Amino acid sequence: MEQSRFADCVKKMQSGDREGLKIIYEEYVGYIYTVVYGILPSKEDAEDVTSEFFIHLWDIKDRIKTEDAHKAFLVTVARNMALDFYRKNRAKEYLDEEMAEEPSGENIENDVIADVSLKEALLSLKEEERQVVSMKILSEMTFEEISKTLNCPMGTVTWRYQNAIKKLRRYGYE
Amino acid sequence: MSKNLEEEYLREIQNDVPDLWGRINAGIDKLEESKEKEEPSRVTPINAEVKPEADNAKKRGKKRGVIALVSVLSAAAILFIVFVPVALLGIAVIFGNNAKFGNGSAEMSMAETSDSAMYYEDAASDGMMYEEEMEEAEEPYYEYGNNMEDMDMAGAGEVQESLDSDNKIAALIQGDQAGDIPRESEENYSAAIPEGQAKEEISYVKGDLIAEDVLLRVDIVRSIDGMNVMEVTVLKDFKPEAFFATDVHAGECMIVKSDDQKLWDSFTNKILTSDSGIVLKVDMYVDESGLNEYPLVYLKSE
Repeated sequence: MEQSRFADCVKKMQSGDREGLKIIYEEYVGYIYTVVYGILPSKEDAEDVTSEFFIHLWDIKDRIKTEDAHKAFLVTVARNMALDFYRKNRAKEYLDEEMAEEPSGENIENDVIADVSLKEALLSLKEEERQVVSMKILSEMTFEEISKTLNCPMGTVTWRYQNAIKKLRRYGYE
Repeated sequence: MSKNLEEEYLREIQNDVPDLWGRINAGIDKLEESKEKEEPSRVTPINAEVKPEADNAKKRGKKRGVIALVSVLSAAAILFIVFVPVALLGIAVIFGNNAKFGNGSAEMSMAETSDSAMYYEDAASDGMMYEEEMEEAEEPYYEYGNNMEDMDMAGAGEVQESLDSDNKIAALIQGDQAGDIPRESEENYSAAIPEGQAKEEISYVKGDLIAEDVLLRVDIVRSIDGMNVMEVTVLKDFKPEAFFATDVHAGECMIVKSDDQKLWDSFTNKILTSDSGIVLKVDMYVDESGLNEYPLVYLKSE
């Protein structure tokens, strides 16, 4: 979406027309959902936060600066909301889920590369590895940001990411 | 055949995006409703505090009364201030007191004249005494400086103290320029280190006040191999008045004002000899205000 179109949508929103928000939603819902899903691996949570994001956008419509790069603004807001949700509500639960899961990645060390879907490939990763990959690829976060979010050393984060990429390569992913 | 992880991952997630517009719309409705509810609740307490009209009328009546009283009082005060002096003046004119007024002013001017005459006589006698002292002064300036301190102490609290002090400094400078006071020529001293002179300790010290209480001290040390080493030290909370020539010792000498910054002339001088036999000349300088003295250290050239 061009900046001028985004500005028009914001103007519409400011005048109380929800059509402006709907145009932004249709354009960016996939992108925002992906960014949020990268941080919150639960589909339900990602949907909740994505919905909240657009409601929040409506709430702050009078304060949106239309002269700035809007995509970066949207991603920043979405990412902050997801991180906030992760830290406040679900960090403990996610940790528990991670601890409970079987480390499936170890078993495929010597597996033959097979023609599998991405979903299956991702299943071969440990939860913490998948989380780092999601944050890096989907949420476009830096290793430093991931390390701060997960509250673990940056060395551990990069190590997890490299491990994950190594595993995914066996399935033909580069 | 390699697959692009990033592209495929993004595509897969974005394909799974559910339709959230209904939820968003509902959320916005809730948000708008809660905002609407908040607005009247803000107004209600203000309405509840509205008092009966009768009370308000009473208050307004009281206010009006106070305003009227204040305006009457202020008008009376203005009338009193303006008319009373005019009335008194008129009475004085009527009863013919003009002569008395004239005599009074004449007496006053007489008194003034005699006072000022005494003042100028005092000042003249001070000047004569001072000149006599100057003629007697055959010793170097730093000794004279001690006399000055005594004089200042004795005359503490006098009205003309600051004027006397300025006169003394001016007279000292005049005397210095006329050659009345014996002192060594500054030509014999050099700010530079004599060539070939080897010295481990400070050989030339230059400092400058870079702020009100910050002294930049520059030490140039001539090392044995003939290379100059410059060391810069910034001394904070420095009080120039605490440093006098007599307090400056060889090896820790410092210049607070450099030679080209002197505003008056050399005020006093002192020769110091360092432990290693280096001869230093210390001058005292007085700044523009005439109140602050600064030591200036030279290295005596051979």
